[in-house]
Formats: sequence, structure tokens, C-alpha cells
Amino acid sequence: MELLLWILVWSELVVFGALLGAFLLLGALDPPMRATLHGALDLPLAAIATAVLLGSGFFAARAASGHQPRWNLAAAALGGFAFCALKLTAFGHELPVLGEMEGHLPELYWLITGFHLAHVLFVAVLLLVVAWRPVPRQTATVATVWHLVDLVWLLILPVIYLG
Amino acid sequence: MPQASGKGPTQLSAVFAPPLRGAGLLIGWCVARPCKPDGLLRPRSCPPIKMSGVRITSIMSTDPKMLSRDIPFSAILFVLLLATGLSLLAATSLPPGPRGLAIAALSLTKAALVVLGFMRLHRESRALAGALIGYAALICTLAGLKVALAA
Repeated sequence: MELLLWILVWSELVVFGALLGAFLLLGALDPPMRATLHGALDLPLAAIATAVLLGSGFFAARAASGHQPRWNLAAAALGGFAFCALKLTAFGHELPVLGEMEGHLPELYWLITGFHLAHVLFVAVLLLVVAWRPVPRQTATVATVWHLVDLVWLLILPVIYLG
Repeated sequence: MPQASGKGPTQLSAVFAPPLRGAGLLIGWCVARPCKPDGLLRPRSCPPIKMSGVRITSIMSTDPKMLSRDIPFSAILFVLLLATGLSLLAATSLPPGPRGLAIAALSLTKAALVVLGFMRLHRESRALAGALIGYAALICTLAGLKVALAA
């Protein structure tokens, strides 16, 4: 494994871990705010987005294993774009309520989910770039980063949506 | 060539409650299934593989015949989706204490399945795979504690 890749992976995990830790702490300090925020979130859409992202990870894993890398990477990227569309739709539902809330908890919510959304969008584009002319080493690397994005979302889900 | 160790799923599966037992078994099988004589997979208990005098400790193969012995990605995806559905069910229907426990356990199961099932990172480095799962366990435990203590 490449050292730089794992430095990137752990940097991302540490940043998201710090943000999620801050979210947990602020939520524990201000339960009414957390309840209001939780009530405003679109849980069904988050569940669908999770399923889409996991399905996308499935295609990325197939690509990394050497099964038709081009088409599987393209399918994974499509899943990423679908996730982005679902999240933007959810933001549209949540914005009217969260926009009126004051405090750091909604800000952290936007920061965490928006930062993750930016990651999904960026890596989905990378998946498409690698799918253009797939090379096993690059395919494995981009699939690893994609699974990292998957993993971060699986940590965001219990902290923000299921809490 | 190493011989098959014959070990079944490890103690990992014993930790999980019945609804999680299937996922636990799947993870345990990923981590500690028997050695493959062709040297594709090698659990901790097996000696390193030697081929023409070269010591091989990690092999990522794309040989379809070898990959057919792995757990299919579709099975991993099915369990991941099932765990997602169960965690949503737990979030909406259970009282705070069991809800926190269920959410933490199911989230950790999903994270472990992504690391071991999709990434198959334990083949490259058991330490890295363990560190990733440990990190996920920390966050999932904190999230579960917050849910359980919310009442």
C-alpha cells in the first residue's frame, strides 16, 4: 500500500472524527437544539442515500477486483452522483427549518454533510477519470478512497441522523 | 505450502446478539478462514508462504478462480443494506437504551464489513484494518452512548 494514500485516508478520518466529536459534544450540551435539528432532518432520504452509496461501493469493489473495471467504476461514479442529487434534495427540505436556527449545531451539520458531499462529488469525478482508461493500480487506489467516503458516511449516519 | 488450519469463524461472532450473528459470522469468516493452499489468503496463524525462495506475506490476486472462493460482494452488499434497514428500524422503534446499543453495534458492523468485505484490507495489512475498525468502533460507541443517555 502506498504511504501517501494512507496518510490521506487517516487525515480525512481524523478531520471527520473531530467534526463528529464536536457534533456529539454540542448535541449533549444542548439537547433541545439537537432535538429540533433531528426533527428537521430527512431520515428516509438519508436512508436511500446510504443504500445508493453502499451500492456504489459494491461496484467500486468489483472494479478493484478486476471485474470489468471500466463499467464498474462508471457505475460507482453514477452512484456517487445519485448520492449528491439525493443530498441536495434533502438540503432543500431541511434548509427552511435549519436556516432559522441559531447556534453551532446547525452550522456543524452543514459543515460535516457539505464537506462529505464535496468529497463524494470530487471522488466520483476521479472514478470517471480512472474509468476512462483503467489501470489496476489506479483503480485500486481510487476504490480505496471511495470506500473511505463510504466509511465516513457510515459514521456520519449514527452520529447525526440516527441519534 | 501451508496446510489449511481448519479454524472456523472466530470469537468475533460470539460478541454479537442474534440479529447481528449473521453479520458477525460473515466478518469472522473474512478475517480468519482457513489457509488457501495456493497462498491467496493467509490468516495470522499460518506461516508465510514461500515460492521459489521468495517470502510472500501479502497477495492481491485478480485470478477469477481464486476470487470465486471469496465471499461475493453481492452478499456483503445485502448484509450492509440489511444492517442499514435494521438500524433505521431501531432508531424509530426502540427505547433509548437498546436503541443506542443497536445503533452502535449495527453501525460498527457496517463499518467492519466495508473494511473487510469491500476493501479486503486485512489481506494488505491486518494492523491497518484493525486500526480502521477500532477508530470506527470509537465513534460508533460514542454515538451509541449519546443515544442511550439521551433519555
